[in-house]
Amino acid sequence: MESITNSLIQSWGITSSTGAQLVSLLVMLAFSAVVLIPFFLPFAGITSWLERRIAGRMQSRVGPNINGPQGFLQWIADGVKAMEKEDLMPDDADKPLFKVAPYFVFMGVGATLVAIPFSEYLVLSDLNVGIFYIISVTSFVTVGILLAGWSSNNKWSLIGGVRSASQMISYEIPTALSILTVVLLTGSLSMQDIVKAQGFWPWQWHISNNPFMIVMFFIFFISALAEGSRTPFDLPEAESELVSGYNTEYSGIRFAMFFLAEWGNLFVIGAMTTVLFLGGWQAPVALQGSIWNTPVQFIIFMTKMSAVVFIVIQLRWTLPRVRVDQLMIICWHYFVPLSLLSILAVTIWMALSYGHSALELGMSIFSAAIWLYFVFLVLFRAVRNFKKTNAKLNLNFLE
Amino acid sequence: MIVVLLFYFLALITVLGALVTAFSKNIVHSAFGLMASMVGVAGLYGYMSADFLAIVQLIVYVGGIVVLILFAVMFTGDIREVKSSNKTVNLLWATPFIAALIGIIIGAEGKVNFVSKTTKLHNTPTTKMIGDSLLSDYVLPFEVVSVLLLAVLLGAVHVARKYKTDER
Amino acid sequence: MKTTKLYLGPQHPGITGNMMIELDVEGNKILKSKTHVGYLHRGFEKLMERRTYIQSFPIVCRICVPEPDVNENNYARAVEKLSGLEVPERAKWIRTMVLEMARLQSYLLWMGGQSGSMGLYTMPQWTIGDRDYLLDRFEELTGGRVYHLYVWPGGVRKDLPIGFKTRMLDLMDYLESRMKDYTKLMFENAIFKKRAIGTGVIPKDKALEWGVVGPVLRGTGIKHDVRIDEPYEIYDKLEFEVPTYEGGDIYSRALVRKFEFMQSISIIRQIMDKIPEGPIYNRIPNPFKWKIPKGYTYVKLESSRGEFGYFMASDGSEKLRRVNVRGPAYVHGISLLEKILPGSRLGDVSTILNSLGVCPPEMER
Repeated sequence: MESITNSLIQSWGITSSTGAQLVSLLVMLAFSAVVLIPFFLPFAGITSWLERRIAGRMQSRVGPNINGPQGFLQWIADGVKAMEKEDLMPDDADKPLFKVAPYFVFMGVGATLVAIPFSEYLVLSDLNVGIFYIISVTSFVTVGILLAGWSSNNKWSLIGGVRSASQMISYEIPTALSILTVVLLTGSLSMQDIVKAQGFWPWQWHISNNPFMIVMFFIFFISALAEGSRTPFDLPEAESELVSGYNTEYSGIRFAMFFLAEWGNLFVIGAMTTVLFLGGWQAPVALQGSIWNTPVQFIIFMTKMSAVVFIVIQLRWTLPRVRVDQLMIICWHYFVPLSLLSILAVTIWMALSYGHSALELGMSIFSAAIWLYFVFLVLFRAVRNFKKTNAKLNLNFLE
Repeated sequence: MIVVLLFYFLALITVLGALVTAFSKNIVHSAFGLMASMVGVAGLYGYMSADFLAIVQLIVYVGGIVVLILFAVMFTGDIREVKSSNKTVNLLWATPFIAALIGIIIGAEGKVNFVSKTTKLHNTPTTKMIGDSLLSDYVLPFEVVSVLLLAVLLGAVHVARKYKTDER
Repeated sequence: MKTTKLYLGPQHPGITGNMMIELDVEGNKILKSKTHVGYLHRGFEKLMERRTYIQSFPIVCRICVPEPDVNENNYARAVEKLSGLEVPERAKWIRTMVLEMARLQSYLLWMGGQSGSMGLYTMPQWTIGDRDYLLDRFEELTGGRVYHLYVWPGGVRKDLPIGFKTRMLDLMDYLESRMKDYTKLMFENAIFKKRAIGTGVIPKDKALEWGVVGPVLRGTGIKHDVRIDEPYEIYDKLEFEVPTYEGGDIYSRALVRKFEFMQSISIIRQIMDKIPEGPIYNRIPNPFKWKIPKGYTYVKLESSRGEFGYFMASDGSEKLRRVNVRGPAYVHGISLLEKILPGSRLGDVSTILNSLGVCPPEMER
């Protein structure tokens, strides 16, 4: 981004430092707008459409299919509807906080996009504390949800907000610990460096560095689900318990902002998992090093990310939600000790294998085999069940 | 020029947040003001190209402390009652002291040679330097602090723990 | 810690109708619960006293929305018992089939509600979709999908349509095959088990004392079923098992219901196999002048949620003197909830409500 700014400054013939700063500020704002409006909003919208279509498929129904091809433009209609609705506010609500809370949630999710590398060159700002930055801005989501829950002046909202906050604080620890192992393996906090430390082939990814990284991958994935309040951890919005949780009193565009943030969060979960464990944008060596390979790398990145997002959506429609105490037990009794243990194991392995590249490669191939075996098992079972279900349906009585 | 404006913007957030924290009648608003102040301080760190410190400020203060404060505040009963929640005490005595303190700070500003004026660290990543110095020059304080944290952790567990004799 | 009062209802997504539960919670734990009803009282029992015997049928089926046939059957049997009207053999078989169909559709609805209350929204979509196939059969048989007005004093209104038998048997095959999917998604789901086992426990020694009935009682290990203890219609001619599971928690109730679902399928198959030919109703006198001898009676049957009884008194005129409906939800929803909710957690309230089969419209008539 700096190079773009510099070339702009040169081509416009600006010499004064104030002018240069102004140009760089404008470029930054423009880039933020470019990320937020044509990327983040459609992504959240398309994910919402995708989720509803997948849910429709899984629940033996159709889902949105009227607006646009296959209902693809449904999210625009929903957005327009949300904007047209009256922005209701309870009389006893804490009005300034009630108004500002959705922006915090939205900002917390949107700001993470700054540091996510889509390809070798397509990254808004390769912060040298990138991964740390993502963890820190997500805490705005917690603050926003807490404020939303409190300012609504509704007991259900308050319980939802507090549940959400306690869940996020608790699960931040296993998430951070699992990220720490990746940082250990890379030796850098920068997202690009993390991706560059991996390779195109599955055994070059961080997940298959050693078997403990598979454990860490699962801990990270489940904790990320919990942090993004996705099923089976969607307790803050548990419908049958808390009406709608922290967003009970919201309507119109503010409500839509919570939901956009939720689906945006889905993207962040997918992108983080991909970058940290699944090799990010890494393409075969021939397709690297040039800015012209950006589309290929972008497609590789988006494919991996979509796979993760699909699994998250699929989980949502096949699992009930856990109870609050069970949620906390999963975190504190299992994940925290397990991740501490894994960090120790990973460091020991790093110390042992230091300098023995053959040993490292062997271990990588071994653990890649382990997790690929599970992936194929799941795929195989899915295909088999699909065939069996289709064969067995007997709907003669419908005539 | 823009950079200077940026500085004043961040400073404004910090100071306004602090003022809201101090003078708001509603304790949740106070906590919110504290958060704004913390974010402003993080911005100031970033402004002084202390990137690592800025992020740590966000994680620890916004993600941790403010959320915990909000947490604690929400569990207190009738927080809207000023008398029981955010009462102003000893305004008469506090005012001259604060005025004196502000006077001292303003007076000292021109006389002390602050490090940031040397502009040596601009635009270099600080993470590695912090890590190096923590594990070489300052390893003893670092370890002492970690022992302290351990003690705090054990103390917290001890306080939070319910003994079986208490329950039944 | 300070206790907070939470009012769950009268309008709340977790409640199976319109009622209110006043909860005293400490953190996540429930200390005290009190049930408030009266939001759905429609005065049906009083209304029936002002109508002739036939005119009450549109009212009784609206007592409980998910299972109208149970009420129709009970009411018809009470009138028959008081007036001494005979029912032809074939009508009894058809009535039994209708009752079992009602049980199946009620269990499908329950499966959806039970897992929906835990946040698994795929189950309701599946089961309510499959319930529609059953409602198609009802429509074919009776003309109505939800309220059937099919059972009549002295028999049933219409005979089975042509080809009904094969379609019904096909549907039973389909439902049996679908049960495998339900088992995978719900009954064997690890999180469902984790949440259901040990939650909402009713102690075995207290169950009878508290007046628990139906699958909930069989879930505590006590074998009690009106179909076997005091057979009505033609249940003594059919072969079926009544399951009991120890535990008294949500999961054992779920297993009881799952087993009974399969038993109902087998009962309908037997009925389709053995149903005799013959007339389907005995004529009743002119309904406007139909006087029933003085007396009173109590009839009961096993609905999908438990023992369902009607007390009916007649004073010899064209109209009822008094009718009292005693449904399972009355016990389960009002007193039992107050006893088993304390000690459980906030998230389990609607799960427990669903597992007890609480139906507020039936509680208040």
